[in-house]
Amino acid sequence: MRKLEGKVALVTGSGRGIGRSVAHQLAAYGAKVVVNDLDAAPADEVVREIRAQGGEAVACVGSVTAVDFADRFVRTAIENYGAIDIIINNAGYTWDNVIQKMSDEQWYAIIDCHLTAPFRILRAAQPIISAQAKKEASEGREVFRKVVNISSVAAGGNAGQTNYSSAKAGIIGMTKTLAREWGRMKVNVNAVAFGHIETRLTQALAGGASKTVNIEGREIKVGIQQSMIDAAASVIPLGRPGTPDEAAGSVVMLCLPEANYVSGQTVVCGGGFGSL
Amino acid sequence: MTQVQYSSVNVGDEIPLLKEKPVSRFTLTLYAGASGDHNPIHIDLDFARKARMPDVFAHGMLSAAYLGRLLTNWVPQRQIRNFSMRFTGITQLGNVPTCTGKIVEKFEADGEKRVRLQIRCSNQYGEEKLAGEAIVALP
Ligand SMILES: NC(=O)c1ccc[n+]([C@@H]2O[C@H](COP(=O)([O-])OP(=O)(O)OC[C@H]3O[C@@H](n4cnc5c(N)ncnc54)[C@H](O)[C@@H]3O)[C@@H](O)[C@H]2O)c1
Repeated sequence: MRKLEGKVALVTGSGRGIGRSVAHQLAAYGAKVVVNDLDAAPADEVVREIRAQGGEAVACVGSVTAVDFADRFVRTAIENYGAIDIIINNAGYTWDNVIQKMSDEQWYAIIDCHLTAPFRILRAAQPIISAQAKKEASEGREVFRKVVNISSVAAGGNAGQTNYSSAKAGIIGMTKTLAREWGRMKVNVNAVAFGHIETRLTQALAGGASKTVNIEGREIKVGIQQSMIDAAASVIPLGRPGTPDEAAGSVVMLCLPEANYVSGQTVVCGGGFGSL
Repeated sequence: MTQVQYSSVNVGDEIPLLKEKPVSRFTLTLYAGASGDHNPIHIDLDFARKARMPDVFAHGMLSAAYLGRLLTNWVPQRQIRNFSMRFTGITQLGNVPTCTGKIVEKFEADGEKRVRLQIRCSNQYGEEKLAGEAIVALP
């Protein structure tokens, strides 16, 4: 069912992983999607895939941490589709170390990406959402819009992630605050905190192997040793990590009309593991 | 540099594009020194934030200088007769200044052959930052 027919959705970091699944699912519900990623190739591919399935999508490539990103992202939506209805702040990565070994660069890189970027994107979208809401209110219509900010069960504490856990806890605060500020504009602002989802970030590493990805010129270690994954799976009530599609489902359900009266909440999507 | 001839250029021709490195704080500091424009809005993050900007941003004249370089990469400086522009956007950190020029008119004035160029500096996303015009004499 095309429950989001004609809605315009902006999804950061949607070239891969969970964001990619979110973009696809929103498109399948009829939304027009602005696909963002740091890397052009995966972003363009997601746009092509959505179009091939009869959907509408456009890419807005670049880092969410660039000073002018938020304006460009919002402008891409307006120039192509003339509105903003759904914003998913998903782009991100981890750059771990224990506090005594964590540099300021490492701290700010993660805070900038997971906390400052969503702040700037939401700030840039506010005048547009406000104008849309005012117009609808004057016409006596109630139209709901959606923000879903991506958090993590690490917000509840995780050794080696001072930067990431602070940012992911911070985004929950931002979510609750904006739910209050934006309620009168009929915007539902919620967060989803993932547990262990199988993506590039959490891929299994064979004994002792290591793998890196390039984020804005920095080589960042990704992946988790298989033995750690097995140990972690044993504490997940559902017995295994989640898939990107399962993770995306928990984001997309908050974007559906059925969730119109849910706001300021954090959904934990962790197979029964984790609580915030 | 092989000399550009009046007879070999046509209206509609693009001159060779100039693509600079991404603008960094370092670029801005060097340019402040070179130009003598020490306005802290371009070099001091604390000052920029007080002025309600998210960060420091490029001097307008830096993009103008790149446009000048676009022209002098094409012809010797002494052939430039006129060079004017207007600022249309802020160049932010990380922007890649990309300058282009197009010949829009061929004419004769003051006893020499000249071309009028439309010139433009934009970033890697095609957003225009500076637009203008130049008149260049060609042998
Ligand atoms: N995978 C997990 O177990 C897990 C758990 C909790 C939270 N999360 C969060 O979910 C979100 C998505 O992660 P994922 O697992 O799908 O990772 P992923 O690496 O598979 O996908 C993330 C995408 O975001 C992009 N990206 C990274 N930094 C960016 C930037 N500065 N600007 C624009 N794009 C950028 C990457 O290029 C990548 O394509 C992240 O916020 C992550 O912190 C993931």
